[in-house]
Amino acid sequence: MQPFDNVRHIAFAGMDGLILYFGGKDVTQMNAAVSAYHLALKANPPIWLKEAIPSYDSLLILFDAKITDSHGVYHLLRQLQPQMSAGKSLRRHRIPVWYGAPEANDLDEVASHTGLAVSEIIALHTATVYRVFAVGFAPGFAYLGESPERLSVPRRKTPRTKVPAGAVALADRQAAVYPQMSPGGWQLLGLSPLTLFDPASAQPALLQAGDAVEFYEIDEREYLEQVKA
Amino acid sequence: MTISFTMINPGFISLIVDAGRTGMQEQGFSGSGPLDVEAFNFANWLCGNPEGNPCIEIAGDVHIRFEHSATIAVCGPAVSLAVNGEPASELATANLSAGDEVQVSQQLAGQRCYFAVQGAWQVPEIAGSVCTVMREKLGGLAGDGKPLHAGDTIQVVPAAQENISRILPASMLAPYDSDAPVDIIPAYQHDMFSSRVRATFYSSAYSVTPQSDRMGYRISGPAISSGFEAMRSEGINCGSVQVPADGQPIIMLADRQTLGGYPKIGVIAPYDLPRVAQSVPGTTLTFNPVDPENARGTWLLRQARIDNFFRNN
Repeated sequence: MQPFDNVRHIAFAGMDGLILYFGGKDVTQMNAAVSAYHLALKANPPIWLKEAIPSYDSLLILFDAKITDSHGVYHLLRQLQPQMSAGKSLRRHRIPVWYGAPEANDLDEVASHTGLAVSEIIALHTATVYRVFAVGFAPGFAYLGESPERLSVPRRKTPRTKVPAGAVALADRQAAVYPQMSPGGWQLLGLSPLTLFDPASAQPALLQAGDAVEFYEIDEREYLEQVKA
Repeated sequence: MTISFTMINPGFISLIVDAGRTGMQEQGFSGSGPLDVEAFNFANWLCGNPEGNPCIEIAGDVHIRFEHSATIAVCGPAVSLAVNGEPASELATANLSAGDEVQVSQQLAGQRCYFAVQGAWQVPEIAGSVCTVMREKLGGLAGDGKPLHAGDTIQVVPAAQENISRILPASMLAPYDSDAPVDIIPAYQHDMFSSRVRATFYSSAYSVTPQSDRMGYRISGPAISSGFEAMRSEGINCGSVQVPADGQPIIMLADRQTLGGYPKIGVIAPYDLPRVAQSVPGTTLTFNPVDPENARGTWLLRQARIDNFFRNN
């Protein structure tokens, strides 16, 4: 199948799947193209569409093979008119963080890896506009990128068995907020009182691929107030 | 009114499953659903249930007591059913009276069968499905992802339908005992594996290992290393064969994570997935590459045969 527009490569993903890989100068630009196609597909979902799973530079499309075949899917994709607005995000979220909360505090370790003071770490983290590149690994777990190079940290040598829900984390040049308590090997900066995942809601995950995320600092008192609210 | 039944012994593992979570993978929910979709569909058909009605996916020997009269069926490879200790015909509807006790057992440890009860199960729906995903702590009787325990009671609102009696010919079941190669569609990073590695994969036998669960089955055999490491995570279709750095493939199944960063050589054709999922550790599998449209043709014929049988019986 011939690539077209921002699509640099198309591969079969089984009898009932196609995966599109997008081009661009960096992952942010590739991901913007992924979001544009994802959005255009979902704006008017064809009856055969079972899943459209966006990730960093790819969009996996699973279809009902009783209704169409890969040619039919390809034909429709070629006709999509995604609104490309380079790097533009879908929604913007501002996420409060109590940095250094005792249950989620690897600030000293991050400081020793980066050579930054704790105040500089917080300043860099709150100054970055992150993009949700992908949601996966666990329900509602959003991969955010990219941290400034100076904030890049390796994963912990020994992963924790229990990272609390709301923990704000860094690994390499990625960031995340743990939607539920789970094991995890990322470095923790603090806790957010925000509910990122509500399985009973029609849209359980607050953060969706393509969204923009900014963090801001709150103190313990504000954290406790917002948790109660 | 509702009827109820109680798990006296849940066997090795008993999970409430339905057709799975559709349209939720972009939010990180596992697709879930039965490991053997065909046996699941047959069990529901035997009970006169709508497609996708909840069932219990059973591994091991299970003992269940019915507090009320009910219509049940069980379907899977080499499964046997007893009511109050008397053998009952498997692959057939059974109509139970209040107080009846049912035992389900399977010849091979590691296989799964589906236990259907006619009616609307009163179990909580989460993200569009009642499917139990233990790793996600979602679904099942209490919605928290726990498998069924001894003493758990399930409530069902019976269907208005009178007692029904259906029989499924064994010839309708997937060819569980076939040693024919498993059809696989070359997909994803297939072209990036060297031709020598691909030739190795298609000409070698792989053995199902005990490291196999609802997320995926690990198979062992000649290594098929891809030689590339850094790959961005991407969506994973059911039946994808991913190859980690050690070259030992993993077949991704119902409870697979939605995204993964291992290269994938292909995706198993859906009509061969029941047979793969019912392969117990030690089973030997070989693989045969098929064109996606040919695979679709084979799949459509099988679906048409099943649909036709359902329509006429």
